[in-house]
Amino acid sequence: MQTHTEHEVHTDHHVHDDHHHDHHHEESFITKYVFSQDHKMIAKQFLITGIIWAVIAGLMSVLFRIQLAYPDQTFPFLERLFGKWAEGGQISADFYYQLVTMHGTILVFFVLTAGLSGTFSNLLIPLQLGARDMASPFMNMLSYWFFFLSGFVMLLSFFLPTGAASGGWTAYPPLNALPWAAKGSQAGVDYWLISISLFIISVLLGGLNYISTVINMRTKGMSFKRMPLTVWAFFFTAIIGLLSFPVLLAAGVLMLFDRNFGTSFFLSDIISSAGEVMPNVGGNPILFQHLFWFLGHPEVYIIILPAMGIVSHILSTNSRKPIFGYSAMVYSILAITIIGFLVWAHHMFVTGMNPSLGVVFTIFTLLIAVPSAIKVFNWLTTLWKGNIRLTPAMLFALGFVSLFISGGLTGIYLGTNFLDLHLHDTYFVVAHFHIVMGVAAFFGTFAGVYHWFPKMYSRYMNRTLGYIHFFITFLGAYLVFGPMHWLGLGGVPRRYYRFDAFEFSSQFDDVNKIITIGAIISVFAQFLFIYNFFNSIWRGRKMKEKNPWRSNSLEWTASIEPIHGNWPGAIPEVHRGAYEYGKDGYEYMPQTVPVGQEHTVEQVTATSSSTNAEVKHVE
Amino acid sequence: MAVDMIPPQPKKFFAQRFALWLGMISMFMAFAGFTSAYIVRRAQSDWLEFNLPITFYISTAVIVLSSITMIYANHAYKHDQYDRFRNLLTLTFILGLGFAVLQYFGWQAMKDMKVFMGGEDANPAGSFVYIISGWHMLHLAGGLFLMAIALYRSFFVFKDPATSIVKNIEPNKGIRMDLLSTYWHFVDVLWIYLLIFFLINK
Repeated sequence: MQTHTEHEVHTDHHVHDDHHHDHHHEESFITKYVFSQDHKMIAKQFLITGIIWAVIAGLMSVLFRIQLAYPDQTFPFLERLFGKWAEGGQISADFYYQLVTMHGTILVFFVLTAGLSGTFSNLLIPLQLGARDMASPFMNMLSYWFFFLSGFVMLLSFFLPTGAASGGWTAYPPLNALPWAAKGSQAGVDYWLISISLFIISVLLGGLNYISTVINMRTKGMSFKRMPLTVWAFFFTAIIGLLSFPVLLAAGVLMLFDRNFGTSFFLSDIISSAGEVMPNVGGNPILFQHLFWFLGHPEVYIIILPAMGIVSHILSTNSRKPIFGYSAMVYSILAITIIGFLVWAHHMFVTGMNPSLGVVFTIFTLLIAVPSAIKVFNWLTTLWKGNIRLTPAMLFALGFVSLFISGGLTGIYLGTNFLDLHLHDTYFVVAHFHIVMGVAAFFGTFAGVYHWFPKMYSRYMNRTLGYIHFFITFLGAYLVFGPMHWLGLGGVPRRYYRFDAFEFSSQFDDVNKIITIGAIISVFAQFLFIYNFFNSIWRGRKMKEKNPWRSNSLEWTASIEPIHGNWPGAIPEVHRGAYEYGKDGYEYMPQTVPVGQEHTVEQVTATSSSTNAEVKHVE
Repeated sequence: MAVDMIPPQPKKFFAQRFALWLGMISMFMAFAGFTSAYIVRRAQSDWLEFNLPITFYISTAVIVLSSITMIYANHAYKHDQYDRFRNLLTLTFILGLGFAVLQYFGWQAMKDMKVFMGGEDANPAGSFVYIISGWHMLHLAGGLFLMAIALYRSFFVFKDPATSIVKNIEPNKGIRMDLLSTYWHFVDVLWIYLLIFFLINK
């Protein structure tokens, strides 16, 4: 650190910065599309890889929902597709658990962490802060390729003779630590652990970059108080990832040794299925749960915070109003970040934890409702008397708010330790987390994709398809997860292969059928989005104006065709906050307009006509 | 649009140093995970108490020494004393390798004391020491790898003083040595932390 000042003196020499790639005239296919170091291309790589994984995981949910709704019927096409895993046209128990485990793992890590945070942090941090690229474009590239490698290892595990991991995305020991415990606990879990380790490296490389870029690469005038809320959200998300993922890595390493080298961190002298006593001494499976949930709980904020940032930005832009309580929004993200680290044991209320310790975790958990509620009220007050433009992005943002409220309220039940005793490991939990972090984070992602698609590909997505996609998905989400609350309150447990064996759960057969039909419709509605997305990349309507949503933030001042370095000329300077909509008679006021120069901006005078004009030019 | 028309962005040198510190925090979090697992597991039954082999104290002295030579090497680099820099960096590299070898002997000594990593006679008390010091070794290997690159450059790329001027024109490259030195001290301090941790919580 003693040379800090010396290096600051050298900043004059920045012209000689070693950005070799800036000096190339043409890039080869490999450097442009494959091993790209351009943050915008890396964002697209994350997004498209995430979409592929989401399709795989979505189809998995169709398969296991079919099993839950029709446990007695046979579907010969399943045997044709999966061979021994679906003998006689029925999904086997081992296959069912592999599907559920992979569904969770893929969606939590590959889709909603890498696909959401990876896409939008990469795309928006440099563009919205006025940076040419990330602090380290090379590390950014590595981050994607570690993610890719991690996915590749996970994909390989599907084709093992014993199949992929089947002990749940939480990988609890002893089930996952003992290879003989289940088919999926054999090589599948080793692949799972290796894949997740690679994934953690990817998250850490990405997070390092996001944080250093936000701290160091903001353009002139872009003070912290002027940053868009998207960037704030990505910033805190990266901090959470950086502090919590290494702990999962440690847990994973210990688990690998327990599995392969005969150590006893999580294993004790339990009796095997063959009646033998295990040689291990005094291991503690609960220890794994503590280590796992020290990541696992912050992980849900890693998933939801970027969605919150995106939604805040889109709600303000499309309400043509400043975001209500900008500072409160930032501080509430900070509060969620801090408290999020203190609540992990609310996943473990039934592990025999001391009840008074449980109360401490209950209090911290309920405390998170405060910053969350601040955010919800600020979204609602942002909408209040706004001049709302119902673009597909805006609809998904509104849908996010709805889902976040419905899912958040059930969180209060589950976070209370004495209520959790009843609801733990029932479908109530499944309903809760799917709505509040699964579907809600998806809605944030969709909102972001519809909103920033023109920025990524210089074309628009089809609006009509966007509306159809929204309404089916929104109603479908409630159709699938709404009845699950009822199942859960009725005591139907999670993770059961079939429910017809028990009197109490077989009475919910019809509900399970409704849920399955809803799930199939919702999953297949996503193909509308996928068609729309890929079709629009090549055939969408071309973007002719730089700032189609008349947004204030910096990304819309960059050139229409994405170029390496983002701005063909000088980097824009920032003179105001990101959300000055509808102030002093101006419909919007880009951040680049100096104070006193407001009149130079061409504004659409009649605010109501703006919505129509906007709709018109889309058609 | 010709890409080479774009004026580059003034890059703050703080960014790289900052990223390294973030990385070190994150690496430390993995050790925090390991050591808190150690503390929780220690509170359970069947915890074996044993004294660390003397080799680990020698290796500690060696890695502290390598940190000191690294300070001098970095100092020499900054003052353009290239011969001195090369010698000191080589010495640091050898001491680093020496530490790795001594750690290996330490593991052997633990084995001789019947403290095993895995298997029927293993106890988590020993397993933790093997795994945590092994995990530390991975971080050391990373440092050695980067140092090997620096050595290669100092012998074959910057070998005559004239080319060393590049360092001052491209300060981005000049900072690499500084980052390497910071990282090496981190690996050193990390080991001292672990040793003290093992001694306190045996």
